[in-house]
Amino acid sequence: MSYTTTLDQTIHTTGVLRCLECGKCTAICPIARYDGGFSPRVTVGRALVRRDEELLRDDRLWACINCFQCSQVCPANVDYSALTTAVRVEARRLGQAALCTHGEAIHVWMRMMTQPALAQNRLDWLKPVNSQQSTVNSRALFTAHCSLITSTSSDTLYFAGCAPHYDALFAPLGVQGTRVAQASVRVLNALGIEPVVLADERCCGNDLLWEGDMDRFLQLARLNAEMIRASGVKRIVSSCPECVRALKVDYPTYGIQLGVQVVHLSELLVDLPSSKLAPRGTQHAARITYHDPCRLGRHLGIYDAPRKVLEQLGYQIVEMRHNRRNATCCGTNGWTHCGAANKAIQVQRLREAKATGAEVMVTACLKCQIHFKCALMDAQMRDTVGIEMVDLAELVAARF
Amino acid sequence: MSDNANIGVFICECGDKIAGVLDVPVLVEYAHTLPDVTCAEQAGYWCLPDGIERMRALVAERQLDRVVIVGCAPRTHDALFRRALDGFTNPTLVSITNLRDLCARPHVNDSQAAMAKACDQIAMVIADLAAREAISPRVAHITPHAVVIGGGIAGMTAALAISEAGISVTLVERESELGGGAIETCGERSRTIAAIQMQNRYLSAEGQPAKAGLAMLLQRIHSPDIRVLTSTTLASVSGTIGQYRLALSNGDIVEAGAIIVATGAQSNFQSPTSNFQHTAFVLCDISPEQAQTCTHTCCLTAIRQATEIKRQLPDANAIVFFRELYTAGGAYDDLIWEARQAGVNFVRYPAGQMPQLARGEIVTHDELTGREVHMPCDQVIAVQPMLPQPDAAHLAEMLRLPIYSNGFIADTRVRLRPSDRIERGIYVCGAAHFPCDANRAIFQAYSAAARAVQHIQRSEIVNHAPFAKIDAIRCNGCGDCARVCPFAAITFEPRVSSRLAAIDSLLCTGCGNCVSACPVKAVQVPSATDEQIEAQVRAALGRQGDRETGRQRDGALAYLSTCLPVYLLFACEWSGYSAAEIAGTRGLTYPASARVIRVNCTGRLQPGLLLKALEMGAAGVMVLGCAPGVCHYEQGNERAAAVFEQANALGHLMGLDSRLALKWIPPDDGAVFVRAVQEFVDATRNT
Repeated sequence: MSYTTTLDQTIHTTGVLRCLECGKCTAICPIARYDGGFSPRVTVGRALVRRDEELLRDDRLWACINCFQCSQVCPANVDYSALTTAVRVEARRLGQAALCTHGEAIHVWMRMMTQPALAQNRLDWLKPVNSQQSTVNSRALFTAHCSLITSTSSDTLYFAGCAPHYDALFAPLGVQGTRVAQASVRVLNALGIEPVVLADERCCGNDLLWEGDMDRFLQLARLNAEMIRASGVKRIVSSCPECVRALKVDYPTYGIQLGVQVVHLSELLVDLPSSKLAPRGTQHAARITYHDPCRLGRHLGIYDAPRKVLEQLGYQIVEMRHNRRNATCCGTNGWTHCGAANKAIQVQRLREAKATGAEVMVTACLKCQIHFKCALMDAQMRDTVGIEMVDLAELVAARF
Repeated sequence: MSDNANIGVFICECGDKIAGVLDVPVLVEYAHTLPDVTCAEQAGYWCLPDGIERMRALVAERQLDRVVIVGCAPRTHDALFRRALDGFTNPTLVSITNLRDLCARPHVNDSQAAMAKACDQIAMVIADLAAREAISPRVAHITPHAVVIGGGIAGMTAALAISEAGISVTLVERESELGGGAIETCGERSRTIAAIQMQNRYLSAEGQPAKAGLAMLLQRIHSPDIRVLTSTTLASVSGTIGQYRLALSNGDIVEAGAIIVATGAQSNFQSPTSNFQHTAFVLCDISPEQAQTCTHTCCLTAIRQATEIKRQLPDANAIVFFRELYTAGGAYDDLIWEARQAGVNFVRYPAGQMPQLARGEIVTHDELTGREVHMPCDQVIAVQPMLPQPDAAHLAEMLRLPIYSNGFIADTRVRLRPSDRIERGIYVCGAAHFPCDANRAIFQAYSAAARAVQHIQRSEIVNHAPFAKIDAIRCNGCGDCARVCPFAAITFEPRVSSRLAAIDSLLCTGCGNCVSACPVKAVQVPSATDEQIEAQVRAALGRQGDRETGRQRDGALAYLSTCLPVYLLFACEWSGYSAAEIAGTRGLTYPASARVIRVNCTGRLQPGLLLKALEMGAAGVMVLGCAPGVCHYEQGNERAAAVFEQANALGHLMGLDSRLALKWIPPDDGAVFVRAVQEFVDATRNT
């Protein structure tokens, strides 16, 4: 099936015609705050009056980070995110494209995963975890010297996503995506689940979709769907909110039915067997703050589950000034169009984290961690707003 | 890319070196089919006077704004054609591709494949040129004033030499008196034995006893062209090449075109006085690791002083206790012979067991005789290695000079074409650079002064080399660019919640390491963009499309249907590319499926680019760069290795790592190049 929606149809389905031109979207937009050339209201306005050329050729079309703050405050229910996706699909047909970061490495990789015959090596991270430890504040966290057990007959599939493989590019930032994946499987094992992990798993396609590369998104989705259906699982769990969103929301939206339940790891951890948990121990920070990833929070409505998990683990959560549905984004934009505005967003968020007085910021999305750690590559930021970061999965795994 | 680019393609027959292997008329025909080409001609030798004349006429007549010469080596003919076309077209939009050594000669035994490659090569150079931006020249104005930091022997000698050339000098000295490390040994108040004869042309033609030498320098330094500031240090430096602004600790601001660092070293050894009967010199217990940074100065000094004691007081004892004797070779070795002749004794002590002083005796174990040695001693000179000044690191940081692992200040040694780089005008001499004796310090001071004078006398330097530019919207101040810049050309200005990178276009050489390191594409070298490199890749692989669609081309273009798998070699012009050319000149052959993409530094490459080449259909991608330690951009090959590791990691994920390779190639060994290419092609064919 190919995507044939036109701009005409998009304008109707996304509610553009209801726009009151109140400007609340632009007022709340974190990109607009730092980049005067970007305005959600102007973009919607252009769509409204069909100034298609300006709409499609605006290089700021690619600056939106999909954080959903605009649609959350919009009194007229305009779906800005869907509008942006559709316009980008159209813009790509005209030869426009997002400016890829990291030398386009990640995009080339994502695109190459659409080739059906690819001899991937995606499971190195499943090898037994050795004594290299996850550390936060130089304190050992996830230290289990253990095997990670998977099976081919479980009713649960762990969708690893690309996070374990980002380390090639982001290890210099102090990011350990492999640890997050390992911690996730460790946690599932501790709960008695030996998940299916696909050896030929492909990128969920979230980034390519957000960029408007509909054909390749659908191709990735089809490849994944085939394997998921063939596995016979009833449920998919992932530690990446973007993968969860893609599998749970985007696939069905664009006609790919998986027929399974899709959950984020935190949702499975709300009732931890406390008798099996090792004590927190005084060496771990007691006061933490939690950053709501946009894709978990505003996109999927999951705010309580991660907090319940942290409370069960004995942590005291000090909330940032903007939290839950008002949490501000980490500036992620599908590895495209990153710049000074994204950096300002990151610094502002880190300031809020620092202001809580917590020693550690916990998040449930590896991309959030990568983006905040990138901001801290700026040496002067490290001094003023540097804070330790850890993923929720690692904190849980450390207790089993 | 200019919308109305008018590209002229001038294909050279090069006698029969090209014409004898390739069908040149067909290549001309092919060139005509390429976008933006409005003129394509051939000639026997474009580089001869009649060829140049004809080229100029065509450029003028057809109003060509970009010119490609398809012929022989850039290193021999680049400058010739740019000079010839200066005034006819922008010389930075003239490109030459080496069809002779990269195609005709190495593939002489497979003319079919050679023709296909020749078409690709022409398409590649045109694609690159079409996307290139002209380079605007930058001018450095050199202020006719020099600042010498450090008023010791080296500093004063340099200041005198520069003022002699008619250039005014400011001499800045930290202490309250001039003389530096020589004050203690050669100063007026010194009672020590200064054993050196200073060879300094400001003193006399012959060597002078050091005391007299220093006194003479101190007298001559007070000249009208030299402003001497004692008890003054450098507080900060700003500005750019030729226009440095030095803020001094006394509040003065001095503008200078050249800076000489002559801040010397900390010497911890005392010099002996001559009123003792038994003098023991104890040299340092040097380890093999320390030997690598040994300065060969202390041993010499001690030996000279011991000899001098014996000469002045033949009845006194002078004994040198040593672990190793490092005398820097040549005439210096004679010093030991002279010392022994004069009656100095040498005793070797065991490693880790320095001689001990007790009750007026010095006791040690003599390794030569195997016996314990007791010697009366009333003066011990412990000879320890010189150390960098405590503020050396700070000074180096202010002046953006590199530091050796032992803390001394290095000179920037960059081996590039002189036309591609403007010298910074900052020079280091004497013990500040590496511990040395007074004569070496003086020699280096002359040398530094000569370079400074030459630099200042140029008064205006024009640089046509490419340079990088920052996109202010994209830059997020992460600092990755500055971390990899070999020339310290990147600084930061504060900005809301961030900082903005700024590139000094006079220091920048366009190596592109910053472009590679930047995660958000905030910096580009406009004359060597990602788009240009990708355009070359596309041109090299373009006919893959034909093969897949099965499209046949007509007549003269039928060569193009001989489609081979294409191997892309990203080669740096200083090593891999030059080795490729040499392979051709030597007549070595290798598979014609290899296409060379020339980059100025492999540190310019990015993981995404290497993988994109695979995505676009390359059968294999190989990076050829300079071996560690010999990169022309200092550390570009380290960047290349990091880039390759990342590309390889992602390649491994996709099962494609066998199609990626990295090789260090010496610049002059065509055989190594050929072997590397053949091995790579064979290896990938088997996967």
